[in-house]
Amino acid sequence: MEVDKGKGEAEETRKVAEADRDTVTLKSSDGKLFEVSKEAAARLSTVLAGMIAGGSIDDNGTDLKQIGSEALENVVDYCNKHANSIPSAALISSSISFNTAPFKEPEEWERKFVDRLSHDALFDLVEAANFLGMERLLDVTCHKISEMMKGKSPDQIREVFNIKNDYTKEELEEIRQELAWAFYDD
Amino acid sequence: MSSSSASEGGLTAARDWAALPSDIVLDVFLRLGPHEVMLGAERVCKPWRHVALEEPTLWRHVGLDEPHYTNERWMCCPCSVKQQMLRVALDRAKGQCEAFQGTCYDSDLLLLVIRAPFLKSLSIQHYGDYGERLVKVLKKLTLLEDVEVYFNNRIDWDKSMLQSICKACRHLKKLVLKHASAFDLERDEDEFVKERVDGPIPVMRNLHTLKLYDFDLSCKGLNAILDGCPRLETLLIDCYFDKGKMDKELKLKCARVKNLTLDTMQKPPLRWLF
Repeated sequence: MEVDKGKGEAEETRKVAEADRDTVTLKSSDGKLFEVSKEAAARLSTVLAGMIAGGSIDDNGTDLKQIGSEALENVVDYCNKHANSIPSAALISSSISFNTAPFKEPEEWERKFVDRLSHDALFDLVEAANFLGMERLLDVTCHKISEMMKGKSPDQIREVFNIKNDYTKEELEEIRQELAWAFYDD
Repeated sequence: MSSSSASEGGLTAARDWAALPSDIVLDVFLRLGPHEVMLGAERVCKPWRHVALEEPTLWRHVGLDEPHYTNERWMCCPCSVKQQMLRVALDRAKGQCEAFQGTCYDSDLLLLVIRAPFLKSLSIQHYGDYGERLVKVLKKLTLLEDVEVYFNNRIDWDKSMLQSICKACRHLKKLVLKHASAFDLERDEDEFVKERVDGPIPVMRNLHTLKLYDFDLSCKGLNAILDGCPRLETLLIDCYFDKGKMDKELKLKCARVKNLTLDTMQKPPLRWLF
């Protein structure tokens, strides 16, 4: 089945009954409309699945007030790409590590999908995925974020994400006493 | 209509990563694993540290000695630091630690009994203390299903670790025992007296995987293993073992094991043994 690519242009309200359409229209916090495959939306997002099943989808664009247009465009883009992709067998395999839970590795196209995002866009996308209950997209975005931290010291991580060191000298000293070991190479 | 409450809307300036929702931070931390979190992520900012301290799930699997883990900061980490990290991780797990892997001394083992009573999986690297104490500890961890021990030297054991460990943990599903010369490349292959497996082992009803490295196994011993472990699916023997002495019956019993590996070596001439 051919699926529309939600490109973000405002769509004319359709007169067709919602139940007969194979797409749903979503509205970002800044009022932009996006169309997404209903099947993919329901499969990938528990929140959208609930809305579709519960009939709370609005023909004129279902309000998603928490999500800006850039993030929503990425969400829709991801859903539509997912609808078109053939899941590979590798999806089942997980990173083999004693320490980490058996997460599914992102597929090649999913990796590329998040690699091209700016830090801000990644931040917005992971929040949107969280808000919409999109487990798979959370997997992909959280994987990316963890890759950005791997092997780095606290200072290096702060630099990557532009995070201010919010510890006072006294607090740092407190941690240093509790976890003296962790400061051995500072 | 949207199910959410008040709108924040619009785009703001650069995002505040310190304010990332804590369930997302937890998800990321779970992917990083305990040593990455302890050495880096958790000290970045207060909200992130809060997640590390308050989420016992993060410390459910604590592996501090993964062979393929090559974080430079971790590799330079002194042993004493790693031991401290183990303690802190077990504290933070608040009793929920289910799997532990790392270098262990007897004092750490006692800590496991107290701090990780629900441990299901234990993998000890370079165990070199008293075998007797190890067995005592294993006995107290009654939920253990999966045990792996690499003995780093000729420890002061009670002769048969295989038998003692089987006796102490009757519900094991998987058991891997490796003696020093199997992994210690700096040592002479035949420097150690091998642990001899020649007699019966307790019945292990649930055991599906058994791997033995560098034991001295007789046909009688192998026969006893096959008799004692009716559910065995995977058996790996990398030991002194003379295949030529296997009789028909033993070969038939072996054939019933789905994944069987008999990587055997010849016993060296007697002069090597002391």
